[in-house]
Amino acid sequence: MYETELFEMECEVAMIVAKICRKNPEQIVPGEVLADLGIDSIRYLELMAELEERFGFEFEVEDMRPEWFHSVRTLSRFLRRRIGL
Amino acid sequence: MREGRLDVLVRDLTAAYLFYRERCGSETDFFRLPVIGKSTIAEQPSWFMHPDPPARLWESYTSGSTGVPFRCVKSESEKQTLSFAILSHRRGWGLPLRHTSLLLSNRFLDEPHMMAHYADCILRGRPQMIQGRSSALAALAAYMADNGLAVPESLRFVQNWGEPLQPAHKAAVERAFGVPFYDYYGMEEIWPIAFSDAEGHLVVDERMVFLEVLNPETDRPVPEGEFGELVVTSFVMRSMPFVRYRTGDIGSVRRDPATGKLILSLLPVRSTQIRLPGRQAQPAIFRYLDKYFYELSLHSGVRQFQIVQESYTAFRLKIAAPSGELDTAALAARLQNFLKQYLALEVNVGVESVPFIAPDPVSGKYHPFVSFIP
Repeated sequence: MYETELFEMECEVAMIVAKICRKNPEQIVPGEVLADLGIDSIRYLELMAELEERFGFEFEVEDMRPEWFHSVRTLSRFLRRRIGL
Repeated sequence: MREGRLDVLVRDLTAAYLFYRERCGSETDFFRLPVIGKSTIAEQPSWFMHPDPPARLWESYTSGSTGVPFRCVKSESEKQTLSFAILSHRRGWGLPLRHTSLLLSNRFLDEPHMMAHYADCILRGRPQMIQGRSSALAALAAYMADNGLAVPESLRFVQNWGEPLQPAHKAAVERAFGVPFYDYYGMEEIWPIAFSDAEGHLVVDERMVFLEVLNPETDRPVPEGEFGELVVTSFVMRSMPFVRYRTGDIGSVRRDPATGKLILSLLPVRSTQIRLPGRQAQPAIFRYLDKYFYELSLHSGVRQFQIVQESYTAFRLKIAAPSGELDTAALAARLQNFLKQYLALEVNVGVESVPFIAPDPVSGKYHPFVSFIP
């Protein structure tokens, strides 16, 4: 069940990342480093704004840790914990 | 917790970096590590590089006050951590994630035509944030007010960086822009050190740095609240470590007993600017200068000021203020008394009224204190 729910979250996050990077969602590999996908300091802001709007929360100071923004997979795990899934 | 982080840092340093292995291989006490500066790193840069660096490092350069370029590196992860720290403070100031910001050029005041350009950028771009040097922002605020240009409602705050924030500048900017003028203190080497809080205090971000205030003569800590040279240690930087690193800036810190915040006060003087015969500047002169700068800041008519040390005993006070509004002779006399107390000999202080005080031609920074003694 957990793996299924994590996969669903990864798909949603991948779609958001794809939108920001102007790629097809199929091109987004969950374990790939976001920086290698072209997510720079400006796009991180866009990514965070999209995630806040999609999942209905606001990033706190303690949420802004690089290890959670490493890849779609790590970001998905963070989001599941953060929004209480 | 802070002592634990410093212990970990010492272990990492002595294990990884050639400089620390060679100079203090068996050291375990952070406070016995050497105090270093740009020149230490510049002389042997390879001794400060991590033996296993990431594949990609981001380069930047800073010249500080010397004009000599100094190469800084950061890994992607370090950049992200430091960027998030800055973002978290700006969000606290009211910056939305989706925003437009305007950054004023370092050489803005050298190019008067840029005033109209930046005013146009503000009116058209409707930024949520404007950042730049305190003196440049004050000049832009005056330009917009003088020309009756209304600041867009999009603007949430203005942020200082690269210069000590003058109270007169802060008041002028807040009056003209109608938003808070927040302070930021950092360095290109390690980015953030301190940010304004809601009460207007400059608060050290102790997640990012450990800040010491040292007597420049002895490199020993000064008592809390006393002025001395600021020496900073980054908890983030590992691709190139900055540990007990001289900032060249003079300041004091005190721990707020109610909030636990470490509050920083900066003196608008760099340690390299004060020249004394045969000795380094002692904390006592910083205390006197701080009092003098504070008294100057109470005079709302002072747009700019600059103390010029022409010799060991001759100083000139340059003031830009509307004519007839200030008793410049009294201001000069107070400076003379302050300096005489410290130097224990007669000093001469002349006064010069000027329409404008230009920034440093190399750095573009405005310096409230300069010395002509080599």
